[in-house]
Amino acid sequence: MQMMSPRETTLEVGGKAIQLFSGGEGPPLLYLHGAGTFWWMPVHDRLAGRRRVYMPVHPGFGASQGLDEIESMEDLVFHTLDVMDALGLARVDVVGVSLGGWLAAELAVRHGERVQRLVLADAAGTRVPGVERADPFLAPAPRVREMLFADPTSALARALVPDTPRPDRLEVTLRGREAAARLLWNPHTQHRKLTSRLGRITAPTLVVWGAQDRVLPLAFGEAYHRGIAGSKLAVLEACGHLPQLEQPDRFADTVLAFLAG
Amino acid sequence: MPWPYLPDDFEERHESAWLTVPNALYDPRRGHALYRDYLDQLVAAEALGFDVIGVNEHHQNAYGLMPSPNIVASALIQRTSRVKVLVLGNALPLYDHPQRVAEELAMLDVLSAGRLIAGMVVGLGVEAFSYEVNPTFVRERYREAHDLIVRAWTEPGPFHFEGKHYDFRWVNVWPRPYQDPHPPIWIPGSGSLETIRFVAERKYPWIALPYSQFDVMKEHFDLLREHAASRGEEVPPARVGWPCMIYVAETDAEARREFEPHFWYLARKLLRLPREYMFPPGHTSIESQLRPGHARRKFISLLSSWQEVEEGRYAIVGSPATVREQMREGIKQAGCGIIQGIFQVGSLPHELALKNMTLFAREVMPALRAEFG
Repeated sequence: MQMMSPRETTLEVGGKAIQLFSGGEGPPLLYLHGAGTFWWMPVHDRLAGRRRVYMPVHPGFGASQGLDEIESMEDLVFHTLDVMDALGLARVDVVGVSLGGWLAAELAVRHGERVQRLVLADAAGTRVPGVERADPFLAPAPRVREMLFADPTSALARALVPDTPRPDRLEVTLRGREAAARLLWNPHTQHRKLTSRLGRITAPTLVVWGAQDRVLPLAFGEAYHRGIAGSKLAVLEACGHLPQLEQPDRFADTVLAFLAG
Repeated sequence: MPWPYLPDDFEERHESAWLTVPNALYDPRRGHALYRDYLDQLVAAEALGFDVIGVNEHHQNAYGLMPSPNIVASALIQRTSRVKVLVLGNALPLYDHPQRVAEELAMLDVLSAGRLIAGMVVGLGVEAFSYEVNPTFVRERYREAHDLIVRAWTEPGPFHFEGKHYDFRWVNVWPRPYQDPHPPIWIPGSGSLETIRFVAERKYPWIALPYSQFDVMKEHFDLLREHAASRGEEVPPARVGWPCMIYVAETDAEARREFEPHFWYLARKLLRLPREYMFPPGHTSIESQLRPGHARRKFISLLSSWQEVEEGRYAIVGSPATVREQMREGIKQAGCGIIQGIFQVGSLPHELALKNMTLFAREVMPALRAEFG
């Protein structure tokens, strides 16, 4: 397939400079990124083959400013509403992965009128008694690779989680970890009441999960699936916590088929 | 107050002596005897002529058995009459109610008739895991809790403290501190720019953290002095503290023989602290982590030879003459007026710790006092 050249621009949101990737033609798709993957990837090219993809980088990640204003997920929901307003997206299909999936679910719970269709991929947010969530903040790189990837020995895993951060990426990596910790540390990757509020989601919803997700095991995806009436669950084999990277084509095709349905 | 009974194969079986270290390894009966010994050592310091005895605060670990330094300080106050008692804890960001810290420290000050020195610490990175405190907020919480406590000690109560992390409508500390306006405040620090700026602005004595090279510590002191100079101020030696592992024996050879196994117990077992435990995101600012000096620091747990220990001056070990000379040299180079001697290290037995303190007090301390006042 043809590689897109995404546009990287800076969006002014509430006085903050927000980094925005966009590309493709078609109906708009708002992609809410996860805690460690906030750049344009091949999966976005594939999505952009059919859709106009917008990926705003959350405050504190990448080149986006404004972490000071983000104290909790609720602040990120309000910020995302501002981003949608700035992009003129009154009602849009939303795809959220990991941290971005939690954000997407909170958005859909609170502001259902803004979400047309919803895709939650290996999303944080739900709590399932007795099921532990792994803590990537506490683990050394080899163990982080085991948590994140179905195949932790792959070149992809080693490139994304090197044993020592690349010097030229050190600052952006540290910034990203800080922004992620701000939102994920406490309460740890979830909101106790979210599961009981999922019934408020009215958008048609697809839950996508990596079968080998060892950060947020499938039980958390099943909680989303159970909680959101009429939702579909798609489990991707040979896939860990990052389907957008480990199975980009299957992930994109699954998402596009659902959104077109 | 280390736990000296970790098994020989501890390193092979456990990632760290902190946070994840199974507490099945702790034995309360042995722990009772240890508390007795450690308290006896600290109490003995008064008769030996030390100015200050100190306790610290750490959580969920085998390195230091004082999750509440205030409790230990309270016991020490009952058994001493002259010596100052330094509490180089209360890890302020860990607590949702800093008023409790203000109250307990005020109690200690009154109980001791004004012998308390109040430390205020950020807490180690690993303690953000232990207490489930968001590390990206610890610096803000630290400053805010500090302000709340100092105001609680100095302003007439009740008053309303309205902050971002702490909002208390009724701040009204009973009892108030014995010392006027409040106990001296000492701040320990690992060399982060955040803390260096804070102590420079507040003019508090700053105690470095032990367990890195002498030169790295000295660089931190220089940073403090430079930062103060940029504000048109000087940092007198009385505001600079060198935390120094010290072991004195009859000869250099005996000192090393008696001390070295316990040093390695400390370095390899008790301070086994993976990087991820030490640096959770936000606990140390990105600016501090990117500072070139940050990478030069070699934590004690990464050492492999005694030669490295000597060259890095991680510990001052030897006969009285050797220790005198090395301390004298170090004090001059560091420009410090406070020596925080660490005489109980790792698995060092009670008798050797007392002998070490006694030899230091008799054979080293007088010469240092005579020279540096």
